[in-house]
Amino acid sequence: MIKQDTAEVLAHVDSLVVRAQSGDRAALAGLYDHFYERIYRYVAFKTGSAAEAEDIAEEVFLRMLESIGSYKNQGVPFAAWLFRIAHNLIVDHHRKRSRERLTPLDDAAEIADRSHHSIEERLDVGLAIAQVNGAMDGLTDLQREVITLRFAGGLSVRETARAVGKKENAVKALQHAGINKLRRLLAPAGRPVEQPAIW
Amino acid sequence: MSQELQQILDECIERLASGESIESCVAAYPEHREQLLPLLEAAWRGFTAAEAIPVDTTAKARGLYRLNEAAVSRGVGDRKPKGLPFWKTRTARPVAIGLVALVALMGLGSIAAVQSSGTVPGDALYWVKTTRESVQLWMPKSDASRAHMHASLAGERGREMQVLMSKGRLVDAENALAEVRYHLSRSAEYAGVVVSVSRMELPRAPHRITGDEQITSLRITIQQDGQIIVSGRTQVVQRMTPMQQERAEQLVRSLDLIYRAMLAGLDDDPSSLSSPFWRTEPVRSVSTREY
Repeated sequence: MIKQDTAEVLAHVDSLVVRAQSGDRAALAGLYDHFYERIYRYVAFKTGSAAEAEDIAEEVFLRMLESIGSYKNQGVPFAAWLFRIAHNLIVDHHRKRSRERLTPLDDAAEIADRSHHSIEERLDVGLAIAQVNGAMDGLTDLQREVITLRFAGGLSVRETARAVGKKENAVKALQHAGINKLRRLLAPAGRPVEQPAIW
Repeated sequence: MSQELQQILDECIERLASGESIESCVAAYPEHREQLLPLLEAAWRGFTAAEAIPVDTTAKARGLYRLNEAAVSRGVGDRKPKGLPFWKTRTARPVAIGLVALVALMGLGSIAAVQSSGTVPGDALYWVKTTRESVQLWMPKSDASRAHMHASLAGERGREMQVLMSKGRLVDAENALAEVRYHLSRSAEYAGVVVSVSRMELPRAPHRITGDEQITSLRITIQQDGQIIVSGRTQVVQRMTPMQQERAEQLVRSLDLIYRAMLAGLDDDPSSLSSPFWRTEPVRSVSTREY
């Protein structure tokens, strides 16, 4: 599972941020290394495209470089700030692209296809992603955002609350409602949503 | 939905994220078992689907490279002190204390670095090793040094690939192979050679790094690493099932090919690449091939 940061790791991230703000390139690399995979998975989960996720994740860190000097830890954790950049870039990207979203199964296939796994493993990964992605479509925008930040981004409730601009109790309620809806929409484990003709 | 259940669900999700099982979470709240269990199962599927999204390590490395380029072009890290000499400023003392602490930390860091040297993906200290490598790659260097650095990293990933194969972790070994490919292609780029596994796609290009000694030294590093990694496969493969053996052999053959392509590129001799592609007889044992 995508693990959340412990207090020790959060303190390390804060020190990296301070060093990066003073022009330390190694600290920038440290931040990149720490957050890349979580940002990538968050974007991939939302866009459904591995290629778009790579491009947007890369852009997130370039924006981070541009704006890190103005970041101030005034109740907004760095992770929340970074995921907000990612969210805004995804919104911009969708606006520019303004085309129909691929079907969940196509999305899942494209994402799973990036792995080096065998075809059987890719099939399992693709189906698991397709099922969850398909069910996520039944959630409200805010529920989907909270669930994606928590599951794919590995953010804590506090970080998620800061990222979406809500109170922590509201995030817990959204999380509960979102998972409850997912439970009803998800097919029983192991049963595909539809036949995967794309393989 | 009661606030109490929301709170319990959140606690359980935190516990799942820290490695606990669904059953142990549910056992802590038997009075809510009926409501909690299906919710946690749905959450678990969401978590595992997100975690199953594979991350392309080459794309990650490329992104880091671009971030570094952007940082360099913005002059990040190039700032020079202005005004009073440092030792006359009010910050000198705390900075001096900080430096002492830094030296102590570096000492600890060195210990961690030594302990992390033999780690592979999944080990607790592996991040120390990769962070150290990332930092090394960021240091300003000549093209020749960068070519050497990437060649060394390719060798390191190749050794990790061997260890991962010996543990039966073939998927991770494939990821390590992708890293070998990436680092050798970067090395080739800095050395100014064009590397391809196809004779048709191998245009000739002049070496960008100057001096035959540098090319020779790079060649020796690559040749030795390739030989060590490929020849070590016999021990690794012996303990595997036939299906694993076949997959491991494919991995080693791919690695062998990448190294041979790099050597051919350095020699400016695409002819040495032709044999594995054009022959029709069964592939010989990898360990018997010579570079």
